[in-house]
Parts: sequence; structure tokens; C-alpha cells
Amino acid sequence: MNELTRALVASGILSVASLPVLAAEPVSVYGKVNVAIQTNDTQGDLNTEIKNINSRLGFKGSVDLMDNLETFYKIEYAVNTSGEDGARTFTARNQYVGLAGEFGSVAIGRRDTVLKDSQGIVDPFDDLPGDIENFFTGDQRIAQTATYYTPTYNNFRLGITYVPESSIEQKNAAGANNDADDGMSVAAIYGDTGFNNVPVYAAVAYNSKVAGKDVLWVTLQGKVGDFLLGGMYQNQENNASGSKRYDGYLLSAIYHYENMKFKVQYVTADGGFSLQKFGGGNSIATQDGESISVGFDYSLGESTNVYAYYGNYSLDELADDSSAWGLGFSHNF
Amino acid sequence: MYLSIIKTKLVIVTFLSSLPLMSFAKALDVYGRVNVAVQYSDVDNKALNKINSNASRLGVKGHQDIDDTLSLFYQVEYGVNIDADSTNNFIARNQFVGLKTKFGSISAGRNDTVLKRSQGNIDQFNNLSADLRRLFKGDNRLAQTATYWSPNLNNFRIGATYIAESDAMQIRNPSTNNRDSGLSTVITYGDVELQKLPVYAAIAYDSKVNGNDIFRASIQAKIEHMTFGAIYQYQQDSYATNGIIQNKNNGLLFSGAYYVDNLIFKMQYQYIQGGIEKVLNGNIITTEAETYSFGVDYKLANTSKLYAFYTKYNYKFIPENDTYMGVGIEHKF
Repeated sequence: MNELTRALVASGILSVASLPVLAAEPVSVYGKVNVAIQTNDTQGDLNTEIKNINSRLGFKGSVDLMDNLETFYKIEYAVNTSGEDGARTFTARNQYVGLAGEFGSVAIGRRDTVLKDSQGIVDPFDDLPGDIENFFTGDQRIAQTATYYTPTYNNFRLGITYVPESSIEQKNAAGANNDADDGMSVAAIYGDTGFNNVPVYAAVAYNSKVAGKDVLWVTLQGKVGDFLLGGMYQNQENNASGSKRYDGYLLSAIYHYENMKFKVQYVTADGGFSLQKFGGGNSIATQDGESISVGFDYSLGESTNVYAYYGNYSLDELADDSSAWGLGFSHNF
Repeated sequence: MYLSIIKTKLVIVTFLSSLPLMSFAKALDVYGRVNVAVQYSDVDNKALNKINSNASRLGVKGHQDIDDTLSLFYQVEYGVNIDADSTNNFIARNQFVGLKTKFGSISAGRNDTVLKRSQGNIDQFNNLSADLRRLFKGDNRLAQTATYWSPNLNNFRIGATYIAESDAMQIRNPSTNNRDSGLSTVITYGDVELQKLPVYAAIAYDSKVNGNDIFRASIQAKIEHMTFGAIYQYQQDSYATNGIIQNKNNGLLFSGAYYVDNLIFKMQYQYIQGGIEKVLNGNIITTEAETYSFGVDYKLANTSKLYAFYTKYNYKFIPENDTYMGVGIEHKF
């Protein structure tokens, strides 16, 4: 029952007996507006931008069927408020339809891989310059996927994402003149990101031939008093022969105090860093580097945050560091 | 916080119109459909795995009474091409505004022609790999249209769609080098849902629509737990090439469906005399073609179904057949 129906029942306008006739399926319209003012210091060049931080608009819902089955769907779009592609700012995010029951859940459509899911909330700078997607490989949403998750047994579950050869990421990885491969992403996950049942979240995930890369992620995060302490290891290798294999590490800490959150993160990788990824000018081939981010979130209620952040990037082959700092505002609806 | 929207107008009309304090004059209906299949195809001797979105969509529609004899209606619908290579996958579908009186309704905007609408539910593989439009011309949604539908008189209705000459899909008349406007007309008997009458029939004619002249006659009948349908079509180019009207082809479609419990078993045959482009020995040729399709739907709820289908294409001048098969989920909201 949605809120209007509930209100009408409560007020006696609708009798409960008439509800099956209604069977109105509520569509949840939801979204997030998140905008920051950010200053980038790229090798000494300063520039300031009003930056869209993954604002979005979505439509979702689910319907209970017989036998503990339910169908669910989601159509979500990014709203690139500061997009450079003119006024065409509506770009696809997760969009899928699925079926859930005692067997687990299946979703088909455009979706994050289970490897991407497996990071949980170990990255407190998600969508900011410190986002692991700027250093690690595998933080991917894929156009054509089928994903299965087992039910949770003893806080433990498995997931698998199948990526067919005709998905654009596979075609791009293969090149125009070659046949593309199917890809597979698998994950084993212990605990939950709300730390409701156990104080530990742990995940091991592996991508095989997804967007031309094999990737291993190992994630661990624990709740210690008011602290969340996390770590992550990644290893990636391009499927193309002779390419370099490289490692990366992440450490993060989040401290909750009343309606404030203090965050710090360190990332290092022997490859995968490029200045372009954090707003810097020219593309530079990926190289070794490390990054430190600190941030502060202040909650103005359940759905609204103001936040500040600072990130420093140090690339081994460049003498000068680069950095970015910003002040942002986000609202979920 | 989600904004929940009741979509069932029955609720609004039956229960709420008597409530003076709650004005639903601007009833807004958010609706959509997510239909995705895991599909295997063998086309031109090339096997391909794909996650295929089948006309998934998101729309807003509504109507408003202006006075006792006049009401306004509108629809803004977009396709959500979930599987697309580009994330710019929000593509216009029917988008129009109209007025309804006792003399019928008239609407203007982007819309299907009345000839396209005349197929009703005869095409059992609508939006799948055996969609009627794969072999027949005339399944047009055009950007600049005005459509009139008469009221229902003894189960008969007539309709017409005018397509403005400045519509980008209108082809230049070679003799004048100007674009002509097009006209699509129809007379229908019964209702496409076969609710009021056990028979639906339609005769439609396109003149200079998207470069084609088309005659289409359609009939569908319900006999106990079965429906049978047939379409005859004659199509030709609107304008002569080298002094001769080309692509004169006859087409036929037969379909049947058998309803038992939550299952629908479906089959379809379609034939076109020529005009289907294929590659033979590196050259593009046009050929006669036919399809055989078999499918089964498993209805989970009014909103949801699972389905499976198989389609085979035969071509007169091509030795190899093409095949498509898939399993999918559809959820309507």
C-alpha cells in the first residue's frame, strides 16, 4: 500500500475489502541531487568547477506474487547537471527487471557487476575525487548483464554476473576486427553493509574477461565502536597479451560522531593512476602513484548532507603533487 | 523518502471524484514496462549471445475534463533502450496532446499511424525478433502527425493520421523534388482486446507514408481458449524509380494463441514476397522471406510474465536460415 491508499483506508474512505480491486502498483520516483564546488590544483594549474556528483533520477518498484516470489524493476538515469554534452544530460544508470524468491534473485538488464557491488561501503569517497574507480579497475556498470545472487545463509551469499559478447564493453575490448568474448564476474560476500548482524563485512570478487580485464578484489571492513575500519586489495591484468599486471591497496577509516562523519582514505597502486581521472588536463599514460583523501560530512537530517573533502595525488614520475578540494551539498528524495 | 504515485485511474475515478478536498483534476499516471530477455541468435552464420531489451519504456500520461463535453488528454513516452551501446538510451516514443468530444478525438504530436495501430494484438511476437515489422513495412511512429479517431458507432470506428510534409521520414517526390504529406486511414470493427466482441477486424491504407503505399487487412477471433489472427498486406513504393513503381510485394501473417491456466502457447507464420535485404557472396540482394515462431508466456501476475520464444527465418535466395531464441521477463507498471 502506498501512503495515499493507506491514508484513505485509515480515514474509512476505502474499505479494506476493496483493496484487492485496487491492486495499485506504486511507482517509486526517487533520486539524488549532489553538487559540489571543487578547486583542482593540477601540477600547479588551478581551476574551479561546479561539479555534478552523480545526481540521479529513478523509477522503481516491486510486486509480490504467489509462492514468495516477487518481481522488481528499476529504471535509473544520471542527471549530469554540469554535463559538457550540451543539455543532453540524461544518461543510463542501473536499469533492469528481475525475479526474487527462495532461490535467490535474478536481474537482467544494465547493471553494476557483482564485483562492483562487493566493495560495499569501504570507499567513503565514492563519487568524489578519491573514488576507487579513479585508481582501480572494475568499478563498472555494464550495458548487458544477467546477475544471480543466492539467498543469504549464515550471513554468507554468492553472486555472479554474466556479460554477453554483444555488450558494448566486450566489443570495445575486442576491437572492431575480432570476435568479442563473454565475461563473468563472481563474488562471495560475508556480512552486510549496514553491519546489522555481524560487525564484519568481507568480500572476495573476481572478474574474468569483463571489458577486457581480469580483476581480483578482496574487501574487508569492520565496525569497532564508532569507527568503521576498512581495507581492500586489487589485482588486475589486461586480457591483451604482454600487458602489465598490477596491484593496488586501499585503507579507509570512518568515524561517526552524532550527525557528523570524519573520513580518511589512503590508496596506492603500481599502475592505474592518471592525472586526467581527477580533473587534470592532459591524458597521461597510467603509472604508479598514491592518494590520500580526508573528508567531513555533516547531516542536516535523514536525506540531506553538506560535506567537505580534500584529496592529494602523488604520481611517482611527476615531481609535483596534484590535489582537489571541495564543498558539496547532497539531497536524496 | 519516495514519492508514491497511484497509477490506477479506477481508484481516482471511482473513489476520489466525490472528495471535494482532494483535487485530482491533474491526475498524472507514471507508467512503464521493463522487458529484457537473454537471447541467442544465429544470423548470417554468426552465433551471438545477447541481453536484449524489448521496447522497455517509461511514460507519463493523463487527462483532464475541461467541461461536460470536452476533455484533454496527453502522453509523453520514452523508450529505455537498456541494452544500447550508448548511455544516451532515452529515446522518444509516442508523445502527443489531444482533445476528446462526442464527435471523436483529435491529437497532435509524435505518434504511431492508424495503420500501425490496426494490427491490434494479432502479432503474437510483438517487440521480439519476429515482430511483424521485420518483414512488413508500415509499422511507423512519425514525428509530425495529427490523428483523428471517430466515436464508436455500432462497434465501427474510423481513424486517420496526417503526416506533415516536413516530417524527416517523408521522402522527396522525384518528379517535383518536394516532400509530400502522407495520410494513413483505417476502419475498425470490434475492440483489439476482444472483450466486447469475439471478433476484431480492420482495413487500413497508407498513402505516401515514409515512402510507401500500403494496404493492410487484419482479423482476429476468439474461440473459447484460443485466438486466431490473420493479416494480409500489399505494399509498394510511393514513387516510381526509373519510371517504374518498385517493391510491389504481397505479405501474409497467421497467428494463434492457446490459453491454459497461467500459460499462453503462441505460434506465428509470416511471409513477404520480396524486398528483404540480405548479403549473398558479399553483395546486398533483396529476397522473399518467411518466419516460423513458437513461444510460451507464463503469467506471474497482471503486471508480470516470464516468456520463451523461438523464431526461424527462411530466405528464398539465401541458403542459410537465421534463428533467434530467448527467455525473458516482462514487468509492467
